[in-house]
Amino acid sequence: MRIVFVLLLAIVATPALAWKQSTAGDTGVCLAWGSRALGWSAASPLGGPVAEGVALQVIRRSFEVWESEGCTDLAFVEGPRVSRAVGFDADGPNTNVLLSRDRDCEDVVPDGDPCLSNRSCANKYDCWEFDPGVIAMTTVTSSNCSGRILDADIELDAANFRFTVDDGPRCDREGQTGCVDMDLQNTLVHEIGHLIGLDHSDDRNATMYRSASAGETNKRVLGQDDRAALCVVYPTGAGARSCGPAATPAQCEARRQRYRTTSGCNQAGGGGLLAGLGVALFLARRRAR
Amino acid sequence: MIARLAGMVALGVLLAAGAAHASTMVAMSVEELAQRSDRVVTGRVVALEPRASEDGKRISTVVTLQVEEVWKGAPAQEVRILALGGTLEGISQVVTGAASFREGEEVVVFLRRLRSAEPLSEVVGMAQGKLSVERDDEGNLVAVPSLKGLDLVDRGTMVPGPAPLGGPIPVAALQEKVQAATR
Repeated sequence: MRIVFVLLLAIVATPALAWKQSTAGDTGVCLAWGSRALGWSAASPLGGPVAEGVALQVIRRSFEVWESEGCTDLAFVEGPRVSRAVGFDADGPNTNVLLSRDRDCEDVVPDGDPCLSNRSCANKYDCWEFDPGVIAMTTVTSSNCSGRILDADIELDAANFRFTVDDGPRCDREGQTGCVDMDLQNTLVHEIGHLIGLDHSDDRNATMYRSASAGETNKRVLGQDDRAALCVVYPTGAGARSCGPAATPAQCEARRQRYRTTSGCNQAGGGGLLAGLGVALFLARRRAR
Repeated sequence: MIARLAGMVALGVLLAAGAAHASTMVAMSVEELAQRSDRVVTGRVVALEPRASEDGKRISTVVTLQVEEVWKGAPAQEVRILALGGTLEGISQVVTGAASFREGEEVVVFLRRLRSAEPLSEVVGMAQGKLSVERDDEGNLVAVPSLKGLDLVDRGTMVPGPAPLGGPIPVAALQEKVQAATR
């Protein structure tokens, strides 16, 4: 019966072939968390135009969206508030931080500041240091060898975009209230998908579809494609989906030497019949033991 | 940072870490890219030098470009670009949606001078502002964008749409567009 269920799961996941799992650097190894209870912390202060208490509720709801499916045991644990610094600390411990940047570094960083030469102005001056056209950015740091995610932080660009939490029509003028501009939950649910290792989907109805627009709220909840990804990547009671070539530390070192690029991140396809069947057979074998 | 990373390696935790940033941003036309740039050049990537941020939490890479042609801005034989992401002592960070470079690559880049004391520029418009120069099947030079990881929306409506530079364009046609936009 369980085998039938698992095969059914794979087949159900099959029509939504659009989802993808992110990969680690040059390796093609899929990203996933090793743990199923993922901590997160809101920075203090949180930042952004939305009242802090309201924004925190929206953040909690956004995480709950990703743990509400019965086919996964992925859960999120809210931790204590943390300072407004993002990035990966090799010495750890690392916290998955959420925050809004309220001012653009262009406006606050003095000419010639050393942070301008090494991209550290965001933490130093608490400002948005990316292109002003970027709405949100999630940084997922992982091991290239295992694909294990080590840390993930979400930054929202409240310096250049207005985030809202209201329902209603799309805002059509500055300062208008009771309308939807860049919907906070819509944005966060998408970014949390990246936080758990999902890449963009080609399915226009998916939360993980590659684009968001002002006034949009349909990504506040998961689409069928997102649910399929969640169920396959983090199936209840089984290990996270892995794919791509396994590598020893020595092989990883060799890869680092070989691929001298600033990026080289390849985002491999993840969903589909073969992946689903692979997981199904894996689970079936485990459960048959 | 360096000491911490060295310590990590000494402990035998040999990690090659990658970081993926997902970015949503407004789509920019060639004209916009050119107008927001103070220099548009073609050239070859001759060196990549990763560096850690002051707080050790981010990695960036100085990309040295040997300039072949200047389409906009002051003449230069070489420009240095501060790119997001890179690999340093076993830790790497990849910024999805940002322009990425590899050694030996021929590129067209739209650049804006940073206000840093060191003469550094950044790529305008994340990945939109960098194209690889390649030869097509007929041997013609084409500039090829790579928008992997970048979500583009229309500036006015914020509605998702196709990228203005969504596919290969002849280098000569791109040059003409850039120069027309900056006349």
